[in-house]
Amino acid sequence: MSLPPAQQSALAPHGTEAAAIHDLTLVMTAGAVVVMVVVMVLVVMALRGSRPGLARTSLVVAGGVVFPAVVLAALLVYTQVKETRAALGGKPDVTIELVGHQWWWQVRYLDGEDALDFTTANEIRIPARASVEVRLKSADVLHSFWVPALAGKLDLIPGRENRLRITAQKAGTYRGQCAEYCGGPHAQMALFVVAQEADDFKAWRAAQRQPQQAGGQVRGAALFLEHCAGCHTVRGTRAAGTRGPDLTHVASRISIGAGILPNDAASIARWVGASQHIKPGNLMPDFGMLDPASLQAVVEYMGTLR
Amino acid sequence: MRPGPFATTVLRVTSGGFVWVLHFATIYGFTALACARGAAGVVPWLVTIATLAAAGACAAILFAAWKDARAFERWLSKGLAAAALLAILLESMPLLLVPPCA
Amino acid sequence: MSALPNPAPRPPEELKQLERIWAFPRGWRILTEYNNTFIGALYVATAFVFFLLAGVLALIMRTQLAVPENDLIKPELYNQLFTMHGTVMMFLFAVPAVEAMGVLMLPNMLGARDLPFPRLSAYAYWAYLVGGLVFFCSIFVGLAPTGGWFMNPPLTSARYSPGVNEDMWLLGIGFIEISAIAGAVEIIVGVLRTRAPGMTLGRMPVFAWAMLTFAAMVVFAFPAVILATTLLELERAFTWPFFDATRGGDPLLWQHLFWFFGHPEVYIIFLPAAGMVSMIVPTMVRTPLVGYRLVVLALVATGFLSFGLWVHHMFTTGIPRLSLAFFAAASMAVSVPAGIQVFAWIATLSARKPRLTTPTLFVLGFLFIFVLGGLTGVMLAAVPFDFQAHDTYFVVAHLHYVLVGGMVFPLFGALYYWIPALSRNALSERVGRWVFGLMFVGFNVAFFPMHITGLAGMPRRVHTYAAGYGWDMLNMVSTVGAFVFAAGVALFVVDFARRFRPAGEKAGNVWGAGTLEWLPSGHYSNRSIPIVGSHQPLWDDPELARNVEEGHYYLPGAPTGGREALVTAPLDGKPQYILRMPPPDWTPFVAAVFTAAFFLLLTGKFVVPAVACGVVAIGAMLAWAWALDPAPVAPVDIGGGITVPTYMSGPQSTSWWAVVVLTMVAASMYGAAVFSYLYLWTVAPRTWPDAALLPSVGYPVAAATLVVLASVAFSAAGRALEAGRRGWLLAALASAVVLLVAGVGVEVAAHHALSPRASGYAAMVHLFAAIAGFFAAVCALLTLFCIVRAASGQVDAVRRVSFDNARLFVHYTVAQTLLGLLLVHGFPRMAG
Repeated sequence: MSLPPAQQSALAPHGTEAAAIHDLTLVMTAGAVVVMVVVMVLVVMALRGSRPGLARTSLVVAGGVVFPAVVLAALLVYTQVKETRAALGGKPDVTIELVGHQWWWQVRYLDGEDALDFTTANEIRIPARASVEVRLKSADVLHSFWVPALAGKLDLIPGRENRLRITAQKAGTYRGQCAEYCGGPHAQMALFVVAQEADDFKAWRAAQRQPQQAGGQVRGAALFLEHCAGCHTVRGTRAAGTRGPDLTHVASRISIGAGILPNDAASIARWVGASQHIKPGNLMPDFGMLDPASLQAVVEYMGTLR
Repeated sequence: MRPGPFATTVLRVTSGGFVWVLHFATIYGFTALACARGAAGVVPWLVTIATLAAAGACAAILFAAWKDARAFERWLSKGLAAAALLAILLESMPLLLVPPCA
Repeated sequence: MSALPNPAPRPPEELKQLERIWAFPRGWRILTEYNNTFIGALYVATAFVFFLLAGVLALIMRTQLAVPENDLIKPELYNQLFTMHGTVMMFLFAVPAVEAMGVLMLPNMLGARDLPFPRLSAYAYWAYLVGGLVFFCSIFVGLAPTGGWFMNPPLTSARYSPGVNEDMWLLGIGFIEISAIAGAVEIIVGVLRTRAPGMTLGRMPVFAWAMLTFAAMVVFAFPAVILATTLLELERAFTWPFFDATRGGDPLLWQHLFWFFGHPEVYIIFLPAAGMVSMIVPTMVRTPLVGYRLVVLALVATGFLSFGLWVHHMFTTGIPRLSLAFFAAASMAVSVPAGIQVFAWIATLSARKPRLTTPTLFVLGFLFIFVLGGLTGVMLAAVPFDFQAHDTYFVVAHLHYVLVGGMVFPLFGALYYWIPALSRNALSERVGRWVFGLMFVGFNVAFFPMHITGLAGMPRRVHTYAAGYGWDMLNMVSTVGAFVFAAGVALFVVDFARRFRPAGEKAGNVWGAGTLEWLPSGHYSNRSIPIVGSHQPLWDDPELARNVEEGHYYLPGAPTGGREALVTAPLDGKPQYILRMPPPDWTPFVAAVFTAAFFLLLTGKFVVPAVACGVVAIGAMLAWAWALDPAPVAPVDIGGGITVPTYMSGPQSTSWWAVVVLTMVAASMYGAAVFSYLYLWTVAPRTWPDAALLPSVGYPVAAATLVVLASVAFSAAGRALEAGRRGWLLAALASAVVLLVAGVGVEVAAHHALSPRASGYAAMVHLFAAIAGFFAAVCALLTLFCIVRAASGQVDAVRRVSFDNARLFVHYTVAQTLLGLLLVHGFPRMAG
């Protein structure tokens, strides 16, 4: 199994901000090409020695002062007037608090009163065509939230809260990646944004809110409590660690390891046994000391956390 | 210590540049402070006053007939004042386009 | 053209004497040589070696990124690689390389025997060589920094990076900054005070204008990063929370300080390169530069405007839109001066069919690459576009287009252009075409695809990337291009090794250029110092070279019997006096090596050996300074009926000018500190205390009184000096030291109840006390030096440069300390 196809390109926009920036990109690229061609034609003419009349100060003033001043003033007005990043006024349809950690994303869904609804990790689900406010915070160092197909980036800064409005224009799976260097395996700090139809989103949200029933796959659950609960939470059980991602509904997610591995039994087994090999420097130790049967039991237990 | 002819010339030649520095520092610094203290209302006033004052200073440099007999230095001081004026106007333009502190 | 100053034939022994005086010492003592042609050439070569080393790091990274999900290199090493690549390229290659070209070319270009402080250049060079090499070697033992060349906290704080790796950067780069500033002092005073007679500001070569602007920018930009690194090191070593948000600091303060330096830095690198292009182009078309005045204006305007761009590295940090728009506008405005220069070169190239030599090819390659990079720069200045492109491979492409295009290509062109002035052979034109071709094609193949890679969603500073996002083929192409580029550079190295021969007769003016660096020269630079009447004096007077070489112009010999330079007036280049330079000795070399050792040992927390090395370094500097300021000798005739003094003190002396530049460095650092204080107050006012909790007003009043009295005492010392009363002089100097130290001591004591670890505010208060203490210590050292000299009869009413320098610095320190007292004690009362 592999990760599902997902968009991570600013050149294939599916969000309102990304689409507006894409328009701007096309306009500026076209302008840049024209300027580049004109300048290079002048250079070629100079090399052929065919236009000695151009050797005048007036060319310098026209090309170096007047032309850029006019074009840049126009560009400045265009970029400032064009609505790209949505204003923060007005109540959003969904509010999410996104907390950056070395090297994973904590995702906290807030209810209408800004109180915590539930916590998940490394995956954001949003209703398509809805206005979603993402509140960006950091638990440690600088990070940056960037899902190119939906919007430009905004940084997660310790001691500050930045707010970004995103709207997906249609349902789909979009991949994002930390865009501010955060040390270690910064390259492997990704997340998925899944835009769903409103009803699907509502159902997902209701399911995520539910805790797990204690018990379940008994041996795996016990091993999980023994080895994993210090860092991970599974709501409804005694596992209540907060250093690592909340795993309450981990089986419902697309990926593990912060967007880098598909969420299947083989990957989970590899990850739990040797995450330091897959993502060197991440804060989860290898659990190579688990015998294969125990490892299998933990993996099976995690597979039940839907 | 009385400034020598060189110091005077340096000050004249670079005066436009320093007007730009003061203007830029003022509009950036006071906007940041006003937004941090929730005083968005004063921003347009501050930027407008600073811009008028700076543009006036640049114009004064452009029209001032320096006693400096050296043509090159005189030209350079006027050129820099003109460049500063252009930059000051361009940099203040966003005030007309963007709400303060948004 | 005026008559020759020395029309009569010169005595034959005169040239021999000149050659003997300026001859390089033999054997190991060659390390004591400070002549610009020697230090400058070593400086350029060393910078080039760092270019090769940092380039190898880049090739390793490109190999890792050639295919997706490659596990050749682990993140820990990769992070060191990109941090070192950026740091070494910026701090150990680009800035030193252009500074070195200045040290190497400026004396000849200006018609100077040497710049005024050649031993300072030598010091800067040796500190850079030793420190740079040790710093680079850290990567072989896994101790290289991993925080990126921008070193953003909190990632680089002791909590998230506990090893010595980041200290390596903070201290390792610290003295390279000092070395850059030392070079800047030399270049500013040199360009303004050692130009040939008749070379007015309006006739100065564009390269000299570029280097003057460069040096002025170093003076104002580098102090910000010196302060920033000091703050971060204080936070790492002593947990003073300047950047810790939980205690009233702010990580963004670092970004403001770093980019306040970092963006001008880009132009600090580019302007000298643009100056080189403005020298090459007129030669290749045999026409003076079109729009000389506009080009000079563009250089100076860039020098200013580049200080208004720093926030465009911070567009995605959540700063209000209007503030971003100010910086977007400034970022666009700065492309006007760049446009002026580009069109001036195109206009000049149009004048006559240019010769397609290798330097011309590199200029053309530069034009293509730099214009493209400039256009993507304008795109990045558009704030919304930057939201997408920031920290992606688009920016990697952009910055390499402007830096490699804007600096490396002109530098290669300049090397091809100027090597005939320094070597028996020019480099091969045939091989040169291949070098250019490989570099140009390789560069574009490597970096053009990155624009697309970035917009297709690939962030930068990643040790690996996922397959299947459309980045795989683009990355492979970039890797191939990087190796093609490297092949071009390697071919250059081979050709250079085959053909560069610095000894003996030079290839000379093979291009038919018109500026003074093409005059025949020896270690003493030009045999006699010409009179300049235009931008291209060699074109206007075909006899100039012969007359210079036969000694018919000014100062054809060495009338004081030692190394000397002709100091001229800054505006019109009128001869003013002869600056005498002591013969080579070991002090600059020893001071440099021990300065580097001081910083490097401090990195490893070897405090005692570090302090010992620091003491040796300071001792060597004092010994070095002791040989300066020699006793005056009789004025000398330099020809043309002009007799100039051989000693100068006061505002006309180059030494005074150097101290003035130094106080500007100090003032910009202090300005950055004041900004930091006000910034933290803006962000975290909660940690500022109520007036009632401040030290009582008595403290600042007492401190202010004492430091003002120190100033008064120094003025009294000046009167005693003029009246020739040595006893009073010594007493006044000693009391000035005591008063200054006592005043600063009161200020330090005023804050005894406040722990610097308590908050951002507390850390700032102690920072200002520490700065006052540091400056008081420097003043004390200078004054004690002066006291010892006066006591040994080497300071009097005429011979007084050491006294003047100390006085200037003490007055400055007193003013700065008063400002600090006002801020630390006055501001919270006012704002609260």
